[in-house]
Amino acid sequence: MVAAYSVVGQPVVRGEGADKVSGQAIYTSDITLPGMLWGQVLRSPFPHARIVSIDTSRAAQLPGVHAVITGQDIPDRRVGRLLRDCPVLARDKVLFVGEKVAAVAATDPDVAEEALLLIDVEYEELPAVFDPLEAMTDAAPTLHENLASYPGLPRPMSPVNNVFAHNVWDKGEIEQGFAESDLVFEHTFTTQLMHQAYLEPHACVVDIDSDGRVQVWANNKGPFMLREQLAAVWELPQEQIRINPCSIGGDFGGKGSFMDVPLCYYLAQAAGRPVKMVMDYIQELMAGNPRHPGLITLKTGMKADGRIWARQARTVFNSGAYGAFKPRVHLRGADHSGGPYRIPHVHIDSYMVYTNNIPCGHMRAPAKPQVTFAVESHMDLIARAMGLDPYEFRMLNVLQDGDANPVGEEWLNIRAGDALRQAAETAGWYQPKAKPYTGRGISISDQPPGSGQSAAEVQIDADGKATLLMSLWDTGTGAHTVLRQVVAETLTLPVEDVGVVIQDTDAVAFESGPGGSRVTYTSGQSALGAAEDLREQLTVLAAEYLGGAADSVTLQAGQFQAGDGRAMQLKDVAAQAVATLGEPLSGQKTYTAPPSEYTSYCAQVAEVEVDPETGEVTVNKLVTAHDVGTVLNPLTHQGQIEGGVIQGLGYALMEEMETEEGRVSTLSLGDYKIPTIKDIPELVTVLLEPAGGPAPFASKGIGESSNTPVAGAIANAVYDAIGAPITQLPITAERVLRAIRGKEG
Amino acid sequence: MHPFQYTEPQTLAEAVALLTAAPPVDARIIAGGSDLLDEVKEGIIAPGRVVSLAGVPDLDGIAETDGGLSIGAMTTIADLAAHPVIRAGYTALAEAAGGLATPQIRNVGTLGGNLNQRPRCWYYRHPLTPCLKKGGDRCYALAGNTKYLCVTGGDRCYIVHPSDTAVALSVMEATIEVAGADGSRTLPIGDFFVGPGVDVTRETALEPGEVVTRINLPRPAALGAGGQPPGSVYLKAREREAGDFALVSVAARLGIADGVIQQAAVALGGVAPVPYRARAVEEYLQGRAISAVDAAHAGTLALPDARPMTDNGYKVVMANNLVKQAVARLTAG
Ligand SMILES: Cc1cc2nc3c(=O)[nH]c(=O)nc-3n(C[C@H](O)[C@H](O)[C@H](O)COP(=O)(O)OP(=O)(O)OC[C@H]3O[C@@H](n4cnc5c(N)ncnc54)[C@H](O)[C@@H]3O)c2cc1C
Ligand code: SF4
Repeated sequence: MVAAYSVVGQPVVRGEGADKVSGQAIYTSDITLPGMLWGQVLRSPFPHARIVSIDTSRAAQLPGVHAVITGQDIPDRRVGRLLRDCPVLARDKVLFVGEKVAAVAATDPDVAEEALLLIDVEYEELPAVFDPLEAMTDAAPTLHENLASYPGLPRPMSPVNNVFAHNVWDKGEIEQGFAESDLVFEHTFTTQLMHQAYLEPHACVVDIDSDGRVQVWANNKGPFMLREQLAAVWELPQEQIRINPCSIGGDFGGKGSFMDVPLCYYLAQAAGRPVKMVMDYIQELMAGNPRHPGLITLKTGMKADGRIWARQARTVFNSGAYGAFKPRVHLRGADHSGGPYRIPHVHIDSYMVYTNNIPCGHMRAPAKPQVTFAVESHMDLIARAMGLDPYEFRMLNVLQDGDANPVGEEWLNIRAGDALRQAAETAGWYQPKAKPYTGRGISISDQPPGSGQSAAEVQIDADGKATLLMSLWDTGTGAHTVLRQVVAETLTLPVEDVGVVIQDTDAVAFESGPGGSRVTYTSGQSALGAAEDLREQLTVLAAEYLGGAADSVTLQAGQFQAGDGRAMQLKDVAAQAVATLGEPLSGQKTYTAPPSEYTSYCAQVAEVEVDPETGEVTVNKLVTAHDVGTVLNPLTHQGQIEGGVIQGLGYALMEEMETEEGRVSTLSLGDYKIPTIKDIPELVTVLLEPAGGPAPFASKGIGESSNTPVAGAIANAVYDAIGAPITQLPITAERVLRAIRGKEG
Repeated sequence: MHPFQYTEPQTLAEAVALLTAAPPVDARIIAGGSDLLDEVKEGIIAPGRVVSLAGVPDLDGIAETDGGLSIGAMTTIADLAAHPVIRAGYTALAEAAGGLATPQIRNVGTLGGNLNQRPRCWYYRHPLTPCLKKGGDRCYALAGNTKYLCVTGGDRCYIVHPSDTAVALSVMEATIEVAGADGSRTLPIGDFFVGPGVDVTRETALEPGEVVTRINLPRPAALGAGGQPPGSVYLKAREREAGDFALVSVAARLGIADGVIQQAAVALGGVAPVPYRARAVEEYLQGRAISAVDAAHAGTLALPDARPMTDNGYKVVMANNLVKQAVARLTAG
């Protein structure tokens, strides 16, 4: 099914790249407005405390300070992406170290910072709880006494203390499944707090303009959803708020958050001037919205012949102080606790738990890296206990085309087994290992493209140049280039003749924005639809100009061709049309994507070498095999694969925000370690023959595929190398050394 | 960031004067700035004046002298790592320098700054934990996470000295030349670093206003007939391949003649508040025929006085194994 495309499938370099590397691209922190002030926040040093009093009088007197506000100065309303549980500024209580307690707007950032030192807050410390299991007991302090009153709280409410979401997935009869099993295995896995480590920290600018409209610049990838959240907390009509586009310096799931925007408005209001707030990385690491730590217990019933018969999963996610930073309240990826395997009896419980830790948010394939590490490690523990080869054990159980997955979903054209086979074959699964303490590990996961809503317009001008207009921010993935290719292909134009204009939130009704591997599918379909609409209009006009019927006119390589052989250049049609109309011709499409019928599997094999004397792990090679659709742009596609693998490697081996009593200890990117180029292994990418997808030209999403299976593959390779499992991430030298010594007794 | 006055003196005397001028303003030396500016931005220090050494003559460069090598304090780590004489004759130092931090930091960071950098203990670096080293009233590590802290030599404070070059210099009988208001003095490297038992707020013997000017490496003593220049090696265990401090590191230098070890120097990093001389290993090796060396046994002598804290027992295992590897490497063939 390889169709001949001219622009689709080409390695087109990203359009905005030159602007970025030359410093021309405008990010939020580049926005400067006349009279603009700088906002800074004072954060709580305690994980749980009552605010007895705040005295801001000394700060207010500092020259250059225009406003100092506390929770008492602003309306008592909470904000959230769905669950509205987070105060804009703490009122009576603080629930984590780093919570915002007061804010200052001043003429420059140093003055603002100095003013913070002049704010006196008296706290009365309260008993705190950091461990989610402890938080779930009745003995733990209840962190949100008014939970039931929060808008967005899922119903029915959990009776368990500090649990704000309890999700269940059920298939078959779990008890019966265990009763019918010959063997039962149970293991618990622990994953860490992880920061998205984007280059650009959270920033925003808020200006209340002379018409009373609130102008917002923020590095938020979901501006329409941000507008809804802001309208709710500010109690303003949405139309009164405009979110203006900016480049976003990396997202990885973290930039869907409102962060300081709600507060910035109150500062701007109090000061009567525009205000800018930019977090530094210390604040990012102390109070961003990182990936949830997970505590995952898997219990599996096995048939003696190696078939998985029952799976019970309990995933406990430490959400920290607030649930506001998640668009769905829970983490849907917990539904992957069965993995891509045929399992007749499944029961999954997933808990979101409040503790006095940093509130967590979304990060690249929310919950899937956590549960996939657990599921894939558990698979190897079972395989080894049963004397099965981990690859063959997976092949025996992996979903086949036509199967429903462990939570009952059915996908078209399941190629999980193919992905596993290709990964194993490419990695030389059965080849003898070069030396002792080297190991191979295999892992698999899947990610369907996310659905959403998108609006696009494609215009063509008198020169035959097209422009794609969308309210879709650039998060650095190269998506706009891919969308230009989609438009160019449809109009048979060279890609250089298709430009992009990023619009603000006034321009269209709604756009979901990037997230959940959605852009190529949802926004791709709207761009495609708009281009098709324009092509149809041009075809009708071409037929008119050529004096034929529209259905006899076809567009090929920039030229309209009538049945009788007469032809007219597309740009001439456009010129004539624009001359007649007096404005550019425009095609439009608003697309609401139904849930995708396809998912996309990614299987990986890691090869590691362990130094048994220091415990250091070196990943020598990683094979990543992808069940793809049409690859629209091999450069951006590969960029997503490579970036994901590297992020997965950091998750597996080194990245961890360590906390003590709720206080994040690793407050710099020296202490919070992300991989460097020297840590990156040889990467071999295998793309399966494209076989359909819901996005334009039978393509699929790729953004959240490669990051998910990495930790499982590396953990299993380390297990293979040292003969002892490590059930806690990251797999540091210290833990490996301990595992080796534990095994030696 | 706290504002400060930035000065660029053109002579050493002027630099010392700016560091000590009344009224005291907490004046600090800046070399490459890769640690100093972090400390200011993180709010650990708030100097009123920063004194750059960039314009002071004769602090840069590596010179061969009658006695050996003389390295200016402003020499960058990258230059140190690339220098042919250091690579050939002082290999452990070249390896320590070439493998530390990142290429960017090695290009701006200086040897003087590397030796004088402040500890990485994350309580020291954290804005919310005013520990003893910052003039506070307690050591937060005692009730906290100690996985990166010391296994020996702690005394109220339990840091490890972060410098890799310091460990390598410790096996090379290096001396540190220091200039101050009262003239200059020269300290053996073993006296340059001081533990928390001496003063919990600093890591070196430098007095306020003193500047490290040069680091001198004596030429290794001539060995008898059949003698080779001593070989040295630097090994470092870490959590990522670049931009990461040592979990444990070892520098070893052995002078061997006629198959017998004439001189042995072994030092460990990542285990103590100062570079740690593994005297027991040295004693075991000194005078021993290389054919009779049991590297694994040498390893077990690495830290006879180790008293690991709750989370860092693994460092002792690493130290034993790294010493074993270093000794095996230097006595092979
Ligand atoms: C991410 C990261 C990773 C790192 N990894 C390592 C590592 O693995 N190993 C390692 O050893 N280091 C490491 N470092 C530390 C780095 O090597 C030092 O920051 C650098 O060597 C300091 O040199 P500088 O010239 O920039 O010093 P500066 O920052 O200018 O100064 C550092 C300190 O020394 C003082 N000082 C500077 N010069 C003199 C002098 N001549 N006399 C007296 N005092 C002086 C300053 O006042 C200041 O207190 C790392 C740093 C970072 C940020
Ligand atoms: S070990 Fe030293 S630097 Fe670290 S907290 Fe204790 S006193 Fe402070």
